[in-house]
Amino acid sequence: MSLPPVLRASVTPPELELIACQELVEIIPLIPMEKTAFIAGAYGPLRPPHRARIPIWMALNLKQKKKCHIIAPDWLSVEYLEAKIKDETTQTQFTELPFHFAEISRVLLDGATDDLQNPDKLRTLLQDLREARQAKARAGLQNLEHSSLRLSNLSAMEINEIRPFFIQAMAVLKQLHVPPK
Amino acid sequence: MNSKAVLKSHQPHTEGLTSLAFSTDGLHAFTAGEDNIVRIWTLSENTDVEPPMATDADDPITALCVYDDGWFSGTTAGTVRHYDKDSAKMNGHFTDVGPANAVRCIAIDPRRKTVAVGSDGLNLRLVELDDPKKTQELNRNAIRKVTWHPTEPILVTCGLNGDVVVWDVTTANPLKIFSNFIPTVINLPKRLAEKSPNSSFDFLYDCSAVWHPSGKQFYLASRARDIACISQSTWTRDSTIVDRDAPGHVTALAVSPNGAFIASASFSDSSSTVYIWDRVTRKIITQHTGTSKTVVTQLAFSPVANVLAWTDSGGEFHRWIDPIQADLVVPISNPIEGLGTMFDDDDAEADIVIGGDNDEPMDDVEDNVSEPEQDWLDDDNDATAAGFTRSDFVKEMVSITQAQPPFQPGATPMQETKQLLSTNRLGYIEVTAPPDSEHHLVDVRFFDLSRAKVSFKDEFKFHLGVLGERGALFACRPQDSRPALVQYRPYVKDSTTQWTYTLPRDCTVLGIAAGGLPLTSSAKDVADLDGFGNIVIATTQGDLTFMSGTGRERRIIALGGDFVSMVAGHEWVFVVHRAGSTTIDGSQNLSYTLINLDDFSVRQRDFLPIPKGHTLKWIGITEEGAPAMYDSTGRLHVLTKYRTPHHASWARILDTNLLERKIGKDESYWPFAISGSQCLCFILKGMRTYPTFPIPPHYELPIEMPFRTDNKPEEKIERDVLMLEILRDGLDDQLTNEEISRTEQRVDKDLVLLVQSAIQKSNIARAVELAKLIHNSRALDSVIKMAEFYHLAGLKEKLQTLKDIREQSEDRLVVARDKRKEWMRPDPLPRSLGAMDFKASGVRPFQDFGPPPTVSRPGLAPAVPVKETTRFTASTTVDIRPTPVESVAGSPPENKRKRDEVEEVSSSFDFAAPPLKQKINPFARKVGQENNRSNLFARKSDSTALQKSESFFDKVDAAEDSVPKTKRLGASKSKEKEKKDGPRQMTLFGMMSSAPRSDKRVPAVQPTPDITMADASQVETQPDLPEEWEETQPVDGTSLLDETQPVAE
Repeated sequence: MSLPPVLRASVTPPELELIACQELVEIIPLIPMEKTAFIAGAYGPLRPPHRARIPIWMALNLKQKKKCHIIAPDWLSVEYLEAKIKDETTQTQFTELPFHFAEISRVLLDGATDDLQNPDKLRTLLQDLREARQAKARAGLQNLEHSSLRLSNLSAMEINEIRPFFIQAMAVLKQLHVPPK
Repeated sequence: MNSKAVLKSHQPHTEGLTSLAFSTDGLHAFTAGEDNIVRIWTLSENTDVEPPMATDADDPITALCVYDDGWFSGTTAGTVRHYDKDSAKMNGHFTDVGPANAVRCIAIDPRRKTVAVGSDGLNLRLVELDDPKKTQELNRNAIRKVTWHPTEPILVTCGLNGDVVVWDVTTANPLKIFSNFIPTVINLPKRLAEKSPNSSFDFLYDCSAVWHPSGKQFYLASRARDIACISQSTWTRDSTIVDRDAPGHVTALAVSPNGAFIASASFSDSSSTVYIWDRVTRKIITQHTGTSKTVVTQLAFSPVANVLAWTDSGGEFHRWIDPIQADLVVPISNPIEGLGTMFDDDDAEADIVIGGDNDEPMDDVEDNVSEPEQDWLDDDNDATAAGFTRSDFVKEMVSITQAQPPFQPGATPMQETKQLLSTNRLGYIEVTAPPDSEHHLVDVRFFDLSRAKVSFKDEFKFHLGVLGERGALFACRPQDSRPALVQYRPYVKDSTTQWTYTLPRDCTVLGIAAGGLPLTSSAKDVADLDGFGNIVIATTQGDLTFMSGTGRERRIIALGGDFVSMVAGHEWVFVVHRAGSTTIDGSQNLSYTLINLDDFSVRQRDFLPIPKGHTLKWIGITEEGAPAMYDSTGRLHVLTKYRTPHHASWARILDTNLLERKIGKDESYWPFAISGSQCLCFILKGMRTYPTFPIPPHYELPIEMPFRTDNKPEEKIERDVLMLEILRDGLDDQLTNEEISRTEQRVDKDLVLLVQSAIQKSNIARAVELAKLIHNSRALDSVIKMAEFYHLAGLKEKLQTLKDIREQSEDRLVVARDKRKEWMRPDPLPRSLGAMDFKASGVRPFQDFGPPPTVSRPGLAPAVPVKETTRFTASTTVDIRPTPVESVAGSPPENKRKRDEVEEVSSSFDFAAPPLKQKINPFARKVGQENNRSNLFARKSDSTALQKSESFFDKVDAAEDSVPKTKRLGASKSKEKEKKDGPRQMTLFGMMSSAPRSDKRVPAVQPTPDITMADASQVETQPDLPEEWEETQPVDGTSLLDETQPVAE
């Protein structure tokens, strides 16, 4: 793969997306289906017009075939994200968000745009949120130590983003570190 | 514009501010102007005649107000004069606000007791009509316009500074202040006197807040040049009426007496245009462009006729007669064909209104234009309005509760161009009225897209529709020369099954319902077998017409009172009707009847429990088949025990006001289906009463009985018990079914947990009570164990007794069935004939959730000596062999029946094979049976030699039997397939040997005796099938000696 060497060490975003797609999402099915056994587990039954919870990968697959409507998770709404951005910019801590929010919002915005309310606004809000959090992560560099780093509420994608650099930096710090005697 | 519309214009006044008012009986109109004159027009007469004048004023008249027994005029000098009814005779000076303060507005309250006078002065003055000396002042500077709420003591004032204030007159406090809402007048009134017309235009505008006759909202021309609609309940802007085709400042506003239309006048490009809007669709129906450079200063609808009048700054008085098409006004009457229209889309607009205003449940009822006066109390169910009723409405006071019009559950009124005719568990019917077209488009959209889509062009303009299980039913009003029609479209591809039922000419359809058994996907092909369900039609002739799904009329049942709504399940139709009239204290007085579709017997009949002052919002049928209802209080009820006559009761299963999600939200719910523990609904934001297009995704409200004590687990148990009851009632002769047992188990589990928590709280009585509810004795056992665990010997004893009693007494399921039977329900439940035999067949692909079958890996198995001889060895020595292979090996004999004879013979000789096989070959039967008998207990011990030799001989016989070789070959090949149970490597060997096998028959036989010498049981390896022998040999050679010998001996 033509990735820079630093990135080769960590997971690629598509891989993270794949992992995130295991999360469950609510859908309104448009076709009936009996409970079906997959390798990941048994999901269903789908009985329109009742909602069902199925993994995102399956929901996207059904969505592609126009066989379901995906109900956006609660956090993927303009009001919620606006509130989060406000928290993010006022508090020093990272705000609490679903661990895979970046991946899930991306796949849903790509695959189920018509099921989301105001997708363009959502995109900008997510971008804002991402930038606010990145800025915080950068600020967190100051606290970087040789042994550990505490950044609670960091999401999977963000961890992945900082991992190559932080590991390297921490390795250097470790070399410089003189253990107390 | 209507071709019949006529505009009559006069110029009775000089240029400047003019005022206009209609008398309450609509016979006279009053106009006033800056020429100090009030003219009284008698509208019925020829208006070319000079009308009488009131010339008492010395100053320009700025305000007019007419009530039942007289009228008022106000002047710039601050004088308010009181005149006799419809005459120019002055009654006297009513009040005076001071010479410096010009009167700007006079308004009389709906009770005709208080007159509000707005002026340039500091205060708004309220004067008692009977005693003008009694006054009250509301402190508000420079009032331009004042209006009263149509029924309540609420005032809206519009100030010079742009503020709009809503006052509660009883407390003299503002209820709400809208700052800078209307345009601020920069030009001070003084300048008006200077007669600089252009600069004072703003002040000429009639900026008053115009109330809708229902009193639920008022309209205002806002700063943004649109018309704001402000709701009374929240005092917030509800919606906006705006159209880019109506530019400019809104200079005057009026609402038609029935509340269906709004007139507005706009001034732009130095000319005025009068528009008439449909209130519901918010679209312009018609418009009229007036002369240039004049501003319309006041607009008014005639209270009795289809006339819109206005006066303008040019001092002219215009009357627009019949501005609104007749078919809009009276929706029932036939539309006039071939009208010359000024605007192309006029006809389309007309149709929207026809569809629209009738179906809006609580708003404009269709008679509201033809009898305008009654509409003062339209939309109003509050008895509090009684005090404000005018004297000539005594009749209305007697029955002040507006009767709820008939409605179709899950229908919405026409919004813009779209409408829902029906929404239920299956889907919804969407009607689109494309502009510029004579027909509607009907789309039946199922939630389950795999069902066939129904979509057609609707020339009848169906106004009612219902989505049945077996077909979609539509009905339309009589139009033109065509009578009312009902059309049924079953969900089958064959369009010939569709039929139309024509009603008599004077008859209209009030409601329709279509019931039937649910269509199962497996039984689609034989759908006809179950029929197309049942159709029920409610008509204005006071009847319910029952029809079969193919259009056969079955019965016409008379229905007393007014029909309100109905919905059909597969067994019965649930009809809501009003037995008499509404009661004076606000009750809708609704009853329901449950009529069996099969034999027309009435199963239940009772009142519908709707509180006073509330209306029925929705009725439906749960997935389990129980009738359900939802009223405007936000509570959901289901009917329980509805199968047994007189047993039914309405159980409250949900109170949407108590929902957690509703806290802090302004929303309501629009249910359309209930299934299991879920209520499917659309969530309506704000004050909406129905879902708007595009239809949002629906929401599932979890059903939760509104118990007052906060104990979720107990509530859940009671809910499950309710569900169990409904399910058990649906049982016929059987004791239980899968779903019931499953629910019972679930309930038991919850009960055990509850018992545990009761024990922990040492509430022994509660524990015993809960234990009594447990269905299965196993769960009872676990409770007993629990008592033991907690060292509660007493409780344990009690529970043990309980268990003993239960064991001794009759089975509870039998008891329940007998109880059901007692109520004599002779007819069996309708069952889907088509669906019956289709479900039985075995496991479907991907539906098996059990653990996967163990893969047999003999290579990995522990080295146990295995007798891997034939398919038959397994059946004989099942008990000893530990490997899983054996169980598989046991089955082949059954499949072997189709093997050809020779092979069967040979095998039957060798062992006590399944007797069935032997039947095939009569030749071999005797021997086989003998063998059977003799070998029953000692199969292997003594008879081995005999078997050996016999099989050998038999084999030789068989060889000599002139059986064609090809046949044998085929047999052996199939044999080979059959041998899958053996280890894999054997087949390998078999394949290798397959080539020589076919021609080397005799040599292949020869090894058999060799083996038999070594071991008797070895013979069992199908002596006639050398390939098998070859297969088995490498494995068995030694191991069989160890394994089978002990058995044999």
